[in-house]
Amino acid sequence: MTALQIAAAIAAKEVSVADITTQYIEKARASANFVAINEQAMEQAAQVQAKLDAGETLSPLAGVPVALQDNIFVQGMPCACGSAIMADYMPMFDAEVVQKLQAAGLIVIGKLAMNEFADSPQAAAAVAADEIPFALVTDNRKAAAQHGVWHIKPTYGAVSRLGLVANVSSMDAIGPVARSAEDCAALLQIIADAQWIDLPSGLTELPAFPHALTACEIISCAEAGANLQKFDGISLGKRSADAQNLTETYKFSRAQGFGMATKRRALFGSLMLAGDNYELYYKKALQVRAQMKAALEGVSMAELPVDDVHNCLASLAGLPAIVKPDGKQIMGAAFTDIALAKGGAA
Amino acid sequence: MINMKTLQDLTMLALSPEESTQLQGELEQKIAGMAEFAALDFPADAPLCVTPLTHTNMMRDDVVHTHTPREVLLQNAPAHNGEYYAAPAIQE
Repeated sequence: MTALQIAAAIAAKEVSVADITTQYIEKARASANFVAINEQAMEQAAQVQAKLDAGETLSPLAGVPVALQDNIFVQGMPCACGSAIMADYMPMFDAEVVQKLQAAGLIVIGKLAMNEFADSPQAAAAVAADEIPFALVTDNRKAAAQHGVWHIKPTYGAVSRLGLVANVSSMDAIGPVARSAEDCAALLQIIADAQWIDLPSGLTELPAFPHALTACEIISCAEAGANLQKFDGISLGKRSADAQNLTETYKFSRAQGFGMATKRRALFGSLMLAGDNYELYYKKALQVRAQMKAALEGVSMAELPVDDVHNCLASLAGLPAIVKPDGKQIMGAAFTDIALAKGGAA
Repeated sequence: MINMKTLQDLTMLALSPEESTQLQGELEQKIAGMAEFAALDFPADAPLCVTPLTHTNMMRDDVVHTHTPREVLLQNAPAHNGEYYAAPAIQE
């Protein structure tokens, strides 16, 4: 069943919120894709059921289970971002998207595993296998395409990042992954703060952007490297037991806490910002980005393959992109996310 | 040639000799592949794009609210004394 079908069954009293929640908690507990289960889920299910029984209208997805990539804060649940350095981290508050889910009567079942400070192939796998009706993730286009599920990478800024562990601050966007375009659209409407617009007509042929991928790598590593600096073993991050002084505390804690891919990104980011490299690489990356963003201003929508070369276009320009189960993505003008989902389903 | 000691200092990372050698090779290969990018020539006044957002910030009202309690802020610190983060001494 899709998420909207589950919501309809709950609304028609064919199934209770508790039954659905129990069913998906059991699936989550048996799945290696989940790293944490929300122990409050049954209690929250009872509260939602009571509101529905009292005739309260919560949302078109009230009572439906949802899961979150493990870089989104839920108070009382660990948030490790797939990293040893965050292993013991407990968020102090709920992410804004989580507050919106709760207000809309959705039940957070648990957290999904992810690559360290990166994407979550496990989220796409869990949705594809019906271990969860849908999930919230950060840009997960490649995994969604590989698993044949729908995913919206929303317009940058349409969804609050409060309570999302920052990775690439100028590109991070929380979006849904689901088994139908309608589910993606319904979930995005609950978590977003945006005034959506309709799609201008027609597919657009895009010009080539030969330097976009390099610019994207430079900017994303520079930003990720800066964001990773907060894991210092002092205020945040597991501290190395081997350090004898303050500098060693920083260096050893980070070296022992980060995996190889994260070290690679952090080093490359530092390299791009160091000395003459700022002018030689980083500044040019920002100029390429400005040039590319201006060139994409008039684009209504374009169908593209899902790969690094094409994914970076929507990332750099902050445009929405919807991945379809056929493995293609449609990139659209800013704030056409919902129209893209409806168009993609048509 | 990339100075890995300086780069590790900038990144605050203590790599093992094996990691350092491997990552130096990878980074140098990456830089070598970016020659065309480095040769791009933009006018001095070419615009920069640091964020795709073009919208004006919506400011909220400046209202007094309760701050996060100290004990909550310290709960994720690797070490603390109840009042402050605990760090190795930097002088005797």
